[in-house]
Amino acid sequence: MTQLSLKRLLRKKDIQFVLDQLAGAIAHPFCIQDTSGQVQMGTELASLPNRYPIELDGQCLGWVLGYDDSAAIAHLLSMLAHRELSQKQLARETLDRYKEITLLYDISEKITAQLDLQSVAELVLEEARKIIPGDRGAVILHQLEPGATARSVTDRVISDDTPELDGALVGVMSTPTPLGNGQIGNSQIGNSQKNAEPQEGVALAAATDPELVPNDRTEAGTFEAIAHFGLDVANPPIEGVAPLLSTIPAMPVEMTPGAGILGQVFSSGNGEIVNHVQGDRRCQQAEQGYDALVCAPLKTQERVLGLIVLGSSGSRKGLDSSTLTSYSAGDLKLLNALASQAAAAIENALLHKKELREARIKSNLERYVPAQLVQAILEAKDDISLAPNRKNITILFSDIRNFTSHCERLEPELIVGYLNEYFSHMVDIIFTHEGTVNKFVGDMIVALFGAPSPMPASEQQAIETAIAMQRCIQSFPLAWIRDNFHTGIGLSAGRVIVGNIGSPQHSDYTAIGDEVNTASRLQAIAKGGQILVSRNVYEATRHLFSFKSMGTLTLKGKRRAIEVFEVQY
Amino acid sequence: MAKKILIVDDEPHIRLLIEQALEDLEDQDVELMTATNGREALQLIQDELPQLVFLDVMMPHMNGFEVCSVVKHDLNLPDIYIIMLTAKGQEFDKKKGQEVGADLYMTKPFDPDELVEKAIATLGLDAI
Repeated sequence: MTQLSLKRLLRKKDIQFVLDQLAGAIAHPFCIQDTSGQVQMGTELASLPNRYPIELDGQCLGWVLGYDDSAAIAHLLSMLAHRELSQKQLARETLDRYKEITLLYDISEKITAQLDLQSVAELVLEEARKIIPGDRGAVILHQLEPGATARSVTDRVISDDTPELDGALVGVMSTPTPLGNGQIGNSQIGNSQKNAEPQEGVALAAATDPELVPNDRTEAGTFEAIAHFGLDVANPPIEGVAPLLSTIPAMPVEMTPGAGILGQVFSSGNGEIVNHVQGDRRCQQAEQGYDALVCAPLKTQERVLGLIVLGSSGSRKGLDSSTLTSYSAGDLKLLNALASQAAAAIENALLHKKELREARIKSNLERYVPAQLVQAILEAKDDISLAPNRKNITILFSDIRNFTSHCERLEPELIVGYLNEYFSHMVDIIFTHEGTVNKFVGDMIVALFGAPSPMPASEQQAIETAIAMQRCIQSFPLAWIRDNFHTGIGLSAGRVIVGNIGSPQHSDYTAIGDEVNTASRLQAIAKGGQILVSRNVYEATRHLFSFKSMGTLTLKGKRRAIEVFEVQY
Repeated sequence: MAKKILIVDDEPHIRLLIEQALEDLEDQDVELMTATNGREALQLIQDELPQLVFLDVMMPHMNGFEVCSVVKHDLNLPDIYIIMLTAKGQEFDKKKGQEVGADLYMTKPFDPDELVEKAIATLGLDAI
């Protein structure tokens, strides 16, 4: 409430000027007295017969003491007081708006510099608290993945990644979701809230009852307060001490799109003010604990990411209705402005997280396939498919002769060290020749040429790789490897099934077919330093390399004898 | 002796809101004055000798830098504390500010509370 005192009014230079003029113009003397009886202008004379009030909105600011002609002065001052007050109110309003603009400028600068989801949410909530009163609040995000919290996602490794299953998670709210970093699952939160404030399990039932789950499958998922204050009934904030938001773990929120006040804000994308929450028939679990709330959606052009809510629980603290927080349209407007900034920043943070994830996938993938191939897979060229299908490829098997006997002579740690050194050199060679490392089995390497991306001269590439591998070992920088790792290599080519083979939980990108077995058998009979190839490899590359026919051999597990050639290098 | 603060800005709403922000200082016998352009400001500075001036940089006729330079150098009034106000997006020319002898600069939209703090600190007043 803007106040105006007589003293302040009379301090105005233009008003002082007018009064001085009037004092000279009218016939009788006058003086101006405030409500405490202090003279603010003129000299109080006992002879002044009348007292005319200076009024502002029915309130008396003081008096003009004088004769009949002083009445006009009192009227004039009343009018000037009214004008001054209006101007002050306007100025106060301008100042408030200006503070808000400053805040929005400030926050947009701060949050656009933030790429971490958690930090963005905390920052937004902290800023919101500065301008909107309340003892509780949260930034709630809609998660399509169960338990995919800001923190747990970043901590995950590639093998744990599950695809985002839109709508396939109906009913997940009733089951405790595994959350990382010691976060608490849904059921525990539900219990702790129930202990503190005995409630009917309305919201819980609504969430688990399939009848009540909206048909719109894209709207399923979980809600999580990634930043919040005053909600954690188990750890109430210390009075007068602002809790560090960053120390508060994310917390699941029991809410359903379209149901409850928060759920409706989420579904409709329109913010709301509810100043008597417990009297609102939509009130559900998520709104328990609030007496009044103001809630704005975190909305981007495409979708509603979640919401930001601020509220108070005054009555729980024994406050009477006159001191309870009551939100205004101005609060909502401000929160909406804040929320739209926040939504943009949150979306940025989510995109950044996605990019990080892709980068991690990429770096993991690059351990198996050459970098350029990873890029090709990521860019999803049409001719690269990871689904099993028939492909013409050349398969390379390489194995260290008498590896087990070497192992017996050395400490296991030492052997692993040598093996890693050896593998990294071999994988480099395979990648340089655009081969794909299919797997390591003990000391054995299996590589594919022509999968997942087609390779016109896969036989040639494979032989060049094999020769480079043998030469590398013969001139290996570590003497022990040079002296002890003698490898036999077997190559075969033909049409096999290649692709991701396995179960949805675990699959290997691998090749299956007769030629795979042939390559494996050839490797098994190759002596150290030897490269043995099947007839089809020989046929494709006879003009490029020199070969020595090894005649026809019957390989283990094979009914028919096959022709074997040794590459002369 | 009353302490004086001069607010110089060609935009009425900025003058109004600085006045409003500083209004409570009037209870500590601080007089607030306003000027709408550089020339008027210079006149008031010479006549009233305010202790503190909030001076907008971008003004018609005579800009803030010119006013500041005249006050600090030509009129030889280095003790008048001058806070330059610069609009967001217009990079404040710090070198020029230093040359003309400005004591501080604030970017609009400034935080009104910060403005009051600065005034209190400069004039050695009690916190509100």
